[in-house]
Amino acid sequence: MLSRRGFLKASLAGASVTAVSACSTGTLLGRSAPPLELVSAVNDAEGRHYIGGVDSRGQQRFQIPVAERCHGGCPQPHGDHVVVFARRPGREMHVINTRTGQLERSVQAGDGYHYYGHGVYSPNARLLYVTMNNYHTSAGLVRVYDAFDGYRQVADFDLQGIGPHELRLHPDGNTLIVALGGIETHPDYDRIKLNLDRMEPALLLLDRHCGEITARYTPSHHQLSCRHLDVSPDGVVIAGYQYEGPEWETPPLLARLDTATGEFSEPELPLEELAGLRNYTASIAISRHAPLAVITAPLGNRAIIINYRTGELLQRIAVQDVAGALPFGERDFVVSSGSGGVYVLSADSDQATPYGSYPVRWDNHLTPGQFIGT
Amino acid sequence: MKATTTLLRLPLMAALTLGLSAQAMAQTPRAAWHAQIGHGYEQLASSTATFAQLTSEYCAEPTDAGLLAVKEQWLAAFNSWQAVRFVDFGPIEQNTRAWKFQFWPDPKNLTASKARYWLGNDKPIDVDALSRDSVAIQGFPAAEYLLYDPQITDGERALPAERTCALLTGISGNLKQNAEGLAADWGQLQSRYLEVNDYSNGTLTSAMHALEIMADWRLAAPLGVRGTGRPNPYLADAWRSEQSLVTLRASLQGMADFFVPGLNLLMAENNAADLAEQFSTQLNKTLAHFDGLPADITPLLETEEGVASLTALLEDVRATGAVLTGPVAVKLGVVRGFNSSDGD
Repeated sequence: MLSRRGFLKASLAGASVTAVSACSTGTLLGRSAPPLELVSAVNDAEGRHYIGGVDSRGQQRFQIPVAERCHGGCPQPHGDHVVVFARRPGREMHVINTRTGQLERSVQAGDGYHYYGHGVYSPNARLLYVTMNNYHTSAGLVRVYDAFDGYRQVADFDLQGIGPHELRLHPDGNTLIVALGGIETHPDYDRIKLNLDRMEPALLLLDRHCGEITARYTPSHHQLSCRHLDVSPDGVVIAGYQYEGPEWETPPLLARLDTATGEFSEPELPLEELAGLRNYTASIAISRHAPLAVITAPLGNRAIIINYRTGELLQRIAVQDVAGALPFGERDFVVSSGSGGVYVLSADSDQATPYGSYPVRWDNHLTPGQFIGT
Repeated sequence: MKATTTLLRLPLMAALTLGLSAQAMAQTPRAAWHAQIGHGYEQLASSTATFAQLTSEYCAEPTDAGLLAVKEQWLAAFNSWQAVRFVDFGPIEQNTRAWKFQFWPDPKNLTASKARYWLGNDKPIDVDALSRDSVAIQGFPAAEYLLYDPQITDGERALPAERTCALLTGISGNLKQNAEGLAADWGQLQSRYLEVNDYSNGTLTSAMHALEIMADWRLAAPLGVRGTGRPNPYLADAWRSEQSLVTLRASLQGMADFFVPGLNLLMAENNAADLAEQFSTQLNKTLAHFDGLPADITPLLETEEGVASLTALLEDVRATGAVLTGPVAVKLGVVRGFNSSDGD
């Protein structure tokens, strides 16, 4: 059995960095260790599960073995933590210390609950909001943890619906935006979707202080599972759907909510673009500086970039098994592939620029190693 | 980035107006696959219909011979499901249909607890009610539980007890309904399946995936090669009826019947008929193992010789899959993604 240190060495030896190694090579874990850049759930070739971290020089900083496959994560604003969540219907979340690269603690969902794989911190870094399922009742909820008190559970907000997935904090600092997938799962049935004929997906706005649902928007078809989203600094939400109906139908796969006006729409894509996404979107990432959003579609082996203000399609970029996505630099995005590559995408080019290649299978979502302010 | 194709808007009519005769269509790989898989689905529909009918007849007028006929037909229908189990796209993916035929693996024995729940109350049992309940009560394993599990067969609920009969009639009727819907929907998919090139890769990867499940979950897990490291016959499917190797054989034979013809055409089109030949040879070698094996995995787990013969079978199932994931995938440029195979 390999020790954790052994893992680290093995990972470092295996990493081959193609683009970012222009920086001089310094002592990796010495005093001048570069900041952590990306955190993600990863698998190795044998199917074992880890949480992996890569620093700003493209070096793998850690690879922490975990029992359950993980999904998404979130960084603590101006803090030392990144939390990564087991994927549906997993029951653990892991708090990683970004300075040491070590697992600080794992928190259990508790009897009768499972996580969905996503969470978000309050602006003051103290409260962590996590989407969960009470699988005895199928009630979707947001659980609130106190990060300053050992991730003690402090409140549960009922969402009046089934299957919450990704959530983000609105730039107002007070509103949670929750993608409600509408899909019922139960650990007894592993990942089987139990209610495909009676789904009620939604996009919800929630007061993070009291849990009151302040708005509820409904996709145009009941099998359009609203799963992932991001919000722009000016309050425009782009959400991605996964269609649970027949693969030969081509419903819309994006939703746009302007929270300033309450206008909810489903931007249309040209039919051949829509068909190329194969009814499945993985990650949504919105630029902090430009009116751009990227949507990844691993079934279609492509990412698209849209203007989130107009909904206009700007670029289509072929990337094999692309899934994770984050805004990067002024106008770009960084995306990860299940085949190990990390790429930079730009709205100005239909080619992905290699940014690193790693001996891992990058899972669905990338998490910033450092908090990116809005 | 202009629209260059209008693939999805091509109406059903397009295939017809292009003047493709049945003869010409049967010469394309996907036409062969659609026809053969369709044939498998029709067999599933007809064998589940017979199962439902024999169950009704037996419950109306119970005899030992009638019960034997029901059991035999359960196995025949279950094997016709095994034969098409490799298909993991198209209408079988709709509304968790595959799980409704076979909820498996079932480490918590939900099949038994769901069946006991239905037997233990006086709610009306009919196809509609069952089709709205858990997938664990809807499929072949639930019927198998009523037909074979000593919890039922050794007690007062043994067939033809009224409520057990009602439940088996409901389960078999639901299976029949689901199989009919599946066959009809597969027919509806025809024009799209023939038009969309991606379905060639989809069909190939579904065969790869099925062979991996056979190796890893249907053989290696009960053999103890993966997981706990201890042999456990309850991890095999059809352990209640003691038919786990018969059903595995049916899955492999289904690939020979319904997958190989299209593969042969596809590889010939790609000037690699030798790779199709290699696959068939390996598949036949794997199938030949069963001639010397019992119907169930359990007795083999109890002797060294038995474990050795299962291990040899496992190696050949893996070798069968490796022809597809290795040289065939390389030749056709098929890449199976991590996120695209199993995202969330």
